[in-house]
Amino acid sequence: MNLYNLGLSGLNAAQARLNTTGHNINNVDTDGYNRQSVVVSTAGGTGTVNGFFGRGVMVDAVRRSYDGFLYRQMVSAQSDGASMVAYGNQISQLDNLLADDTVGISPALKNFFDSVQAVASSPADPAGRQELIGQASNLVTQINEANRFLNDQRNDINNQIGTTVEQINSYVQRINDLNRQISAAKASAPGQPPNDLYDQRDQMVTELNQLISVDVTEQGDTFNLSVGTGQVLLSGQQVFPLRAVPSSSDPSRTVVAFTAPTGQPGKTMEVELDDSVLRGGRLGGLLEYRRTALDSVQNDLGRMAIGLAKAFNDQHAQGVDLNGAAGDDFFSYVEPTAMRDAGNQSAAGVSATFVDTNRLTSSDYRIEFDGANYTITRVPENTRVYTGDGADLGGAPPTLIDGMQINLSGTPAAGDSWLLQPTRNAGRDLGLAIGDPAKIAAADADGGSANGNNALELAGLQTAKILGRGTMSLNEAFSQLVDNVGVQAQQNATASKAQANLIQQTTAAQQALSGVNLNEEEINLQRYTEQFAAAARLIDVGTQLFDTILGLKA
Amino acid sequence: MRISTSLMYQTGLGTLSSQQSDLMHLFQQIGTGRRLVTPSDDPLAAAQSINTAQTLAMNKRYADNRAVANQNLGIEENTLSSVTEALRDIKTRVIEAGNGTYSDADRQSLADVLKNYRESLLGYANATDGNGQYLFSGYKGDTQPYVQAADGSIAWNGDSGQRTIQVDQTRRMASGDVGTDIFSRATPGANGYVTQAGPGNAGTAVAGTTSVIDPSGPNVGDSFSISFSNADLDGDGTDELAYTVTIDDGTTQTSLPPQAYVDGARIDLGGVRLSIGGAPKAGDYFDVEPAQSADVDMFGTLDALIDMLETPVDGDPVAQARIANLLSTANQKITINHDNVLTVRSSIGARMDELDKLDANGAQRGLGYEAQLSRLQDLDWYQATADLQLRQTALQAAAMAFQTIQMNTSLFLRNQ
Repeated sequence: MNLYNLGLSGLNAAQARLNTTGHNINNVDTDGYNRQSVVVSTAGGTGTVNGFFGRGVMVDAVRRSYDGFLYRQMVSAQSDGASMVAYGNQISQLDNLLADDTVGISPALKNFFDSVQAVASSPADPAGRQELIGQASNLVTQINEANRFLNDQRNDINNQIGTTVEQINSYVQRINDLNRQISAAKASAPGQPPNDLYDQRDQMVTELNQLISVDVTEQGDTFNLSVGTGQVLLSGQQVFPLRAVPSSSDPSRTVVAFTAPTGQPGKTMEVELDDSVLRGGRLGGLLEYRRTALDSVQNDLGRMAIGLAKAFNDQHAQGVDLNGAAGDDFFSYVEPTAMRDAGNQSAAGVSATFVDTNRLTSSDYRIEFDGANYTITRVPENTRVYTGDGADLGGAPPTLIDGMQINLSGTPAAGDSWLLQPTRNAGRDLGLAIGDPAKIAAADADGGSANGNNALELAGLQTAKILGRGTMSLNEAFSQLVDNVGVQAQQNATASKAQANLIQQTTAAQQALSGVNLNEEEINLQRYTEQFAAAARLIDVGTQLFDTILGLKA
Repeated sequence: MRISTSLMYQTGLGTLSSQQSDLMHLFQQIGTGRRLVTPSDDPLAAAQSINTAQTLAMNKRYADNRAVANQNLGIEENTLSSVTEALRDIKTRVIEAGNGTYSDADRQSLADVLKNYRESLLGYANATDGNGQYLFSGYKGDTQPYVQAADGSIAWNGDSGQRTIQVDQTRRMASGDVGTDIFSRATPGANGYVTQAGPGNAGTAVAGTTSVIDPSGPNVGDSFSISFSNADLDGDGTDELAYTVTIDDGTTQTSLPPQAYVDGARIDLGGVRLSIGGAPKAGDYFDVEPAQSADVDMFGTLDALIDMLETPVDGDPVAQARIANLLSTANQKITINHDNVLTVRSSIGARMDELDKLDANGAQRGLGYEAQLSRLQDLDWYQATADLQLRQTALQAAAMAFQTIQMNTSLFLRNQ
């Protein structure tokens, strides 16, 4: 009689294992699937005076082959990898934009100064003057276009931040749902792990980490999620969604805000997160690109545009045009106005006037008023460049801040702040102020149609070190920009390769434990089929034994 | 170690992708012929190539500028070559006119010839370039430099602006010369003299050419005046004709004691010497001025000459003496002009020669920059083709290896 039971328990165990093997084979390519196996134990023995007779085998549980450490290592590597890919996608666009040095700003600069030289050599030649106007217009267009490209990228990043934040919130919501499903599943089968739900939740976390690096804390069977420096996304069963909002200091910049409890029940408030706080994943990569590459490249371009416009205009004003009049502005540009923070209590304004463009930096400036004193801080470096009541900023002579005169207007309230981006939009605002070839002030103060002395001085600006405190010519400033982009793209490519290797390694380690190997499953199939056959044979033998005994009776 | 089946596929795919992306990059390099497809391939080289490209462009620009300078100087040289011819002819005519056999009618026809030369010279002085800009007017390229007034006199209307062209990174060259430096200037440093008889001289004294016999003489460079008077030098109670030399060094005037006049006497002025012949009258004088301060305006000289040649002098020895003196003065001035134009021409020649040398240097440098740019940017074709072969083989090998491993290690497939 016992043989039947033994056969049955063996059949059951083999069946369970074959099932699990089948499940493994089916999910060999399922993302996030962890190999499952059946845990069995001996069913114990029945004690008799002759000893304990085993009762067969017992299926205890179905377990997944899972190691939290290996899993977290892999996810963290993937999150960093996704950040680098997002960064790389953006920087490679810039890299490609600057790839061909036969088009764009560099040849436009060359051609522009070439035509200045031509006017210097033949100041009376109307064709040469017309050519200069044409080349100047081309240079302006190229700088405008490059800036437009950067602005498009900025807008695209704003949109991507918005979409990514929505996706993040959606993942958090689904993880919250899975938390609940897991609790329910565990209640329905106490003591048994809901492996596939675990896998699904882990996969959600993996995918969420592709968007942003998330910290997971396990509380019982529930995942709590937080980002950055501890901003909570999911706690208990409450979701605190991230939001993409216009920055209060710069409305054109979409930033991420998190919702924080106010202390009053059910009430939350939005708090802007500093870009540098959010790391990893696509969002981290986008924010890092904007912070470390896009801002500085656009500012560099703007500084070059301002340097060109101001230096050329200043020299142009020294000369005399064909009509004998002093040179008018050659290029047009816009003196920068600082943006008021959305939270400012007063309407007081801050603007700046370019005085010495050679001292101009590529930084932005945060201006704060504490009720008595202004502080001016260079950002993103966070270097304080001025503290004082502001009187000397408008003094005679004014205290210049990095080559700019700062103009304060209105009565500020304590706590007001402004963001000054002197060069950010200069590439956009650069224009050609001159259209009439006769207005080119090629002559020096002596005048005369054959006098090209001022044009000679203008041509000298091609190599004059007019930027970066006398360290760079216009062309060198541009080549530095290209170098900057190239280096960042190169670094990203190198780091991405290393990261890809790391991902490969951590994945291999995780898969070595959790992955399905079809050969192994094939052998398992054979093994368990044989086990099944053997168990069936036990029943067969049991029947034979019965038959033998029944035959004796007959 | 367990190799999961999906990892095996992923790894196989990853290997193939990375091989293919390397191959793709190589294709791009070969397709464009550039080593640097994007700045990230070699950021420093990309930045350097931008600066080198600018240097190369500027080098080309200076070559273009030199072409302009060469053209301007060529036009000027052509014009001044004609001016030299004209001056040489005028000189010949002036010397002919001084031989004493000319009648009033001969002189009149000579005056007509000189008028023609004057017209030609005026034309040369107002020559223009391809843009209609006057060559010699200084900065005022559109202002006619020499204008004939209603009374026939020719006045300078230009300015002293020196046109310059950037012919090399550090060299700005004068691409022309100002009219006053050509038509009314003695060569700077020339120490010649111009002798002029007083316009009201009543005697028949004629001054010979003033020459500098000792360049280190005490009075070289000073102005002199030789005036005649009657004085009783030997104390015999009757006056003799005497001359007094006054030396003007620019600040003070010193009169030497009167000397007795002897016809044809050589008068030594301290490094400078001239001879005066004929019979002067008391009150006559001669001015001897250094070329540097004398009025040597070509057109003024010609006008005075023409005016004088048209005045009848036959049978009047005083007028004939006056004409002889004027011709002598004109001859000296035209010689000074001629020398000066030749000097300007030689300076043009020197400048054109310098341009040639700068051209040679520029071409040499251009080759250097191009080679540098090519080193920075261009593909090493041999290397690239070899790499291409290698990569293709590697890709094929990777694909084959993947297939082999996959086919031969799957139990499921083997059982079929």
